[in-house]
Amino acid sequence: MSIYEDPIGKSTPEWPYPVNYGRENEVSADVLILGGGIAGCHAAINAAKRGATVAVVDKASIYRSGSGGAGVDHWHAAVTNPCCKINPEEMMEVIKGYGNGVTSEYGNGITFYILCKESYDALLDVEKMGVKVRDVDDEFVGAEFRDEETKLMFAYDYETKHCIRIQGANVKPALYNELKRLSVGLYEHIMATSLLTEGGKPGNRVIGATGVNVRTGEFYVFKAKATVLSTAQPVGLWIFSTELKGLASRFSDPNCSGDGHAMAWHAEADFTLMEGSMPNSGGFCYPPYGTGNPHNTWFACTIVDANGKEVPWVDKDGRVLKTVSERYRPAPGQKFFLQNPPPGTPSEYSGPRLIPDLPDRIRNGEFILPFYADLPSMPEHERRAIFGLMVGHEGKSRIPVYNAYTKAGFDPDKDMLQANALPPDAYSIWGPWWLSVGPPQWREAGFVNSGGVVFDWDLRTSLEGLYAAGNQLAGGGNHAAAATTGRYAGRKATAYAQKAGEPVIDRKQVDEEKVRVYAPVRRKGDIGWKELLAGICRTMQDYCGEYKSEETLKMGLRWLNSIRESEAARTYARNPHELARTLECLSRLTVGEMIMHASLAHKASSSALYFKRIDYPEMDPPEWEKFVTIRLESGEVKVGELPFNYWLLPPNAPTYEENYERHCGL
Amino acid sequence: MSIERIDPELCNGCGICVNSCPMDVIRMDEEGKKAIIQYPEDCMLCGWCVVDCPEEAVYISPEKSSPLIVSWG
Repeated sequence: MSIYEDPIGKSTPEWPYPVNYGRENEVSADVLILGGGIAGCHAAINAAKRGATVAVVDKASIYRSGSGGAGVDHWHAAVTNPCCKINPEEMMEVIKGYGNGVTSEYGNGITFYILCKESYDALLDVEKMGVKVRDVDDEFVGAEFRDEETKLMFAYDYETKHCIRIQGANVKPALYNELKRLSVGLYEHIMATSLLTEGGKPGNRVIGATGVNVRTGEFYVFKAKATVLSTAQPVGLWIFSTELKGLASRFSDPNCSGDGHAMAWHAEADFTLMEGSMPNSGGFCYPPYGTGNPHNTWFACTIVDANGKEVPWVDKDGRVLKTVSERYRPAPGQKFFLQNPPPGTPSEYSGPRLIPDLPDRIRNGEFILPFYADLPSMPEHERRAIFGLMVGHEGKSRIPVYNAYTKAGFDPDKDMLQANALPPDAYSIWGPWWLSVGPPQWREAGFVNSGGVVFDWDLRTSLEGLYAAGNQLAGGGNHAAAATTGRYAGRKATAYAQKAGEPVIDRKQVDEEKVRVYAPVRRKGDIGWKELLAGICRTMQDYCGEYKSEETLKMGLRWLNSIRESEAARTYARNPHELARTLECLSRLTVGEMIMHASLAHKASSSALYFKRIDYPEMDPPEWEKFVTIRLESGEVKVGELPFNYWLLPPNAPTYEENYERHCGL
Repeated sequence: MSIERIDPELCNGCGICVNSCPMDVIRMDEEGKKAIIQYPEDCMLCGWCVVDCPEEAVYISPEKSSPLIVSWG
């Protein structure tokens, strides 16, 4: 027992499931889906509809698992909906000026075009499964954002109508029922641990995966002609606390530990954008969307200061917007806008915002903190859309915010919601206020800016037989992007599986993985997984925080290696639950190394990646207008590069439409 | 904030909450045929156990931190 385990060791509950470490189960499928979140479910449904036998593997219950498991309230880039005034090509203009960007949910050109082409179709898919995507109960008749004919409701840009407000709290159960209806093989509570490759050699065709049941400890060998990696971006690499839990510790699903990244890395797939990470306040944030703010779900709520003085809204040209209605319309001459676009987006697509010099005006006393979200002054439809339609259906805001606040007596018709007091600079447009502010060494790799596998127009990774979808894709993100890339990857993986040869599993590769997986339950260790994770996170904070340099990164790599060789080799697990948590730490250890290697390879600073090298302080030098790629090869890290817009360069066609038509599989 | 209690008097043993929990924090006690909590520190407060329970037997605590304080570093 370690010092840490001693006080709680006594309270470890008795294990309720029969444990059979090492007992092997073999599953065969045409298409194997690793990760049963939004992307994985759509991939599985589309593969099954094309006649493939499908197996979905998820660490949790697929009914509610994944980053999108708790629901969705707005559906991005649904530009093919009958009310939308722009087409996919026009929407793609926003990505042109990205240059050094290619971040955020509007990230990569391939995923963004797939999103624009199929977003509305994917929405119609989930509508057929029983998700409410229209105002069928006529609750918002007459609202500015409602189309009376289709009953579709729009968010943000009411003029152009490219983003749809939906009531998607139950999207995951609907997908789960569809998987059941299609007789998809569901392998729940199984954590995928490694990819299997032809001949047992990394870099070869991927022919399946291994997994361990987090309840029984049994081992699984999945044999598949094609594999879709739809695991999420890694979270929880920098910040860990044994005291703070639940939503108090992070926004994303804590199951997202980067297992997919670690698996594909060891199988020697190419990765990119891994050096990107964002500031984060960890357990010191507020429940997402849980304080007064004007962002995202709360767009475009009136904000007043402590004396009730209204903070003006302006359009992209700085013109003060006099009415609430104007905040939901493009500026004069503007084709359309994106709500709260990330840095790097061409300014012609920026939407209405609070006055940009708000930090200065707070400093000089013009506005007095704290601020309040003035819901009562908003038009009734907007008020009910923000605190109801949106907060009531978005991610994890429904229970801790909408339900908890309502139960506590909060009434949006009468009450203002206070915004958390922040340093003046934090009131600028980018960065939701509820995230608060953390010290510079606290980062998060996920949500936006996420690094992941390199992929092509087939959503195929650099490895034959391995496809990727959702947040596993570098630059991927958002619910609709997960759904659309899931559909697409499901089609492509099926097409490949229909022609691919029968996979032959290499016994030695399986046996070696079994030794690795069960080591924590076989050894008499003296370090618990929380202690191990605390060490990994502290190393990331100290050597891979906001400011990085050659020396600190190399030192960080040495420390991670030292943790792997000593502490990780002494970590024990007393049951399958702890085994899964321990294996997650090993994934995070690998992802930490990937981040440090990518950071070392990127010898310049980058604004879009929130990446600062002390030894290369110049921000965005032209010679670094490219993607840095990394790959493991026989134990060595190989660094490469890809040009921005690689998706429109040979051997690809020069236009999005041609590439899509050539590859989409429809 | 995390799952605090499942009332054994109200729990009908249907197991819906076990499937609702993405973090595997709720288990079925096979002997007692009731849902029980294990590893509450892994609860991510999505709240679906509360929403999905047909008997309103699940309680979530408003406390932000767990009672045991063990810090590192």
